[in-house]
Amino acid sequence: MRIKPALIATFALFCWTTLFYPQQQVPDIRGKIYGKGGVRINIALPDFRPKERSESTISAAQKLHQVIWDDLQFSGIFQVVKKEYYSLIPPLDEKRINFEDWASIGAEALLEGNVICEEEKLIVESRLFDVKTGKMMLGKRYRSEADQHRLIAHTLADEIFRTYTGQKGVANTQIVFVSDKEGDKEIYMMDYDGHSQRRITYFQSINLFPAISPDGDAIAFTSYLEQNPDLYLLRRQGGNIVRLMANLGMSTTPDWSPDGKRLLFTSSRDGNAEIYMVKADGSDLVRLTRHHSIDTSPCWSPTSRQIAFTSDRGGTPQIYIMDAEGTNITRLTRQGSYNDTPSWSPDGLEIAYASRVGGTFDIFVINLTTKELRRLTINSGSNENPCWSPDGRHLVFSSNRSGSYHIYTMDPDGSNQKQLTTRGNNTSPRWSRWGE
Amino acid sequence: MRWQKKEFSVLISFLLILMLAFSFSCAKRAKPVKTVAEKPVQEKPPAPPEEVATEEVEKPATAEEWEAGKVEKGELTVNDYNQMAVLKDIQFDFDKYNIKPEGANTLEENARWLLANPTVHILIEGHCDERGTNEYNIALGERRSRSVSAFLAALGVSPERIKNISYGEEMSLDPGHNEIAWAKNRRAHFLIISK
Repeated sequence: MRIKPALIATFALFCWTTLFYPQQQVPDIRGKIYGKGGVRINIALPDFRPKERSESTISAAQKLHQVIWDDLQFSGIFQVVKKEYYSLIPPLDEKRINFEDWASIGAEALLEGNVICEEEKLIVESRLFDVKTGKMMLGKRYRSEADQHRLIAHTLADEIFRTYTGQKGVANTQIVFVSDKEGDKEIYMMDYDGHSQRRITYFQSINLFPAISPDGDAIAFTSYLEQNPDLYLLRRQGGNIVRLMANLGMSTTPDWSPDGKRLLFTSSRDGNAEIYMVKADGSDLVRLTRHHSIDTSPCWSPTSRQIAFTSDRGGTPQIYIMDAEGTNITRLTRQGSYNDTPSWSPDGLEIAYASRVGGTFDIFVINLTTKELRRLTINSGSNENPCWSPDGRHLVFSSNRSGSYHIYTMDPDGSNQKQLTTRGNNTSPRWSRWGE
Repeated sequence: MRWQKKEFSVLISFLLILMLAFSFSCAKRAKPVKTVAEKPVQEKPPAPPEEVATEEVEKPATAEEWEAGKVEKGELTVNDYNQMAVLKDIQFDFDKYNIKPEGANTLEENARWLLANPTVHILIEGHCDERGTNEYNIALGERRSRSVSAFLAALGVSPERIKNISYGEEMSLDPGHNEIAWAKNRRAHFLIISK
């Protein structure tokens, strides 16, 4: 198993802010809402300069540039200025940047950078300018192992995102999912953009419902490894596997508390599918629901004060909300005959879920205050298992629109749907939180 | 096991399967030999499949033969019982776990057999069609399995002899995407686990 956090830590040691230019105050832009239907910032991204003509440096510069381009475009707050416009103005002279040129092709921000490969190390320098004022808003120098260009690109993209929003970006986040591309339904992980897909379990049994802990270190999931749907916990550091719930009926659909200390899950240990809460070490089990109908798919609110879940106590599966103690159960969804898999938005205001329309599912979002519905998918196969990105600007879900199930991302208005997987059937995606 | 049920009812197909299985196992054996050492392959050529098949195959008893007392109970293994499908599946309606009248008849037969064979322990698998969510279906499969248990218990079958499992929509009997396939897949399946 690959241990990404360790890599990031090593890499962080080699990353520091440059002092070539005095850092300027960010222009007053934070009052504006970027993305989510707001205005996108036009950012120009001319090619990164290789500082020497070696093949490895040239290739690294190209790859890095492409990843940053994709990250910024995906982030939802930037519109990268189209490549063909750059040839309309004189090439970038990084020593004397003519900002009027860049303004003339509509750029509001400009990112320039250079790359060199030295002794198996990749060194990247990059600066971000506000085109209107010519002020440098960000200057960074990164150093990593030669093959870590994606890590540098993602980290830089997140820095640029943070410069404009004051918030963390998602470029270094992960998506955990189930795939049968190598036979059995096993747990896999990938970068948020679909790259670096890697297999996590080799159980050769059915594995379902993976949920990654907020610190990114553990994955809880259901497995039939011991011929019963039990709850397992896999610690990525050290690869330690624990069977949390063994042979106590079924134990399914785990969800981590925002502080990573507890898990919600569904269990039939008392004879019927009910919601339970347990500490991550398996102690302090608490039963939260008591109803003869099916209760399942628990999901914590971002404040951990409330829990959304699915119940068919009203006759059909619908989304309900209760307090974290299991009290004050209220029905949330009133439309649709089959609603399941709630995912609470990070800002706490909305819940995304899958709703059956005709014979297939589509992704809907319900506003918790107004109860207004927003439909995100339509006429594109069955769309299931929505899960918010940690910044709430995207959703990941699975869809069989192409004939088999694949993982897709989209914006919360349903736009920018993008396919991340290509082989086998890929389902049950969960977007990681940010980690430490 | 489930997938063998039909095949074993007919001797011919059983022979075929064994032949296939044999040739498969030969292929499997040959694999490491190919990469590690080539000698064993030449020293020990595989026997013709027909020969082995006739040697090893014994005609499995049918449920009818068993009923007619043609087969000694002691001779039958757990696998034989499962191949004979002495306990029959029942079907459910979409999103339902209640026992339908025709299911009740089947369960009464199953209960009679279980009462006549009091040492047999069984696993009841609850299954769903593909149309719901995995999350809800796995709970629904559990409900189906347990409603069958409760029905059998009411007919006098001791609950200690019954284990439950749900496979949700994970193990379709029919891979089709139509009402015929879905109806087949919404089922409770019986597996004899010890006798």
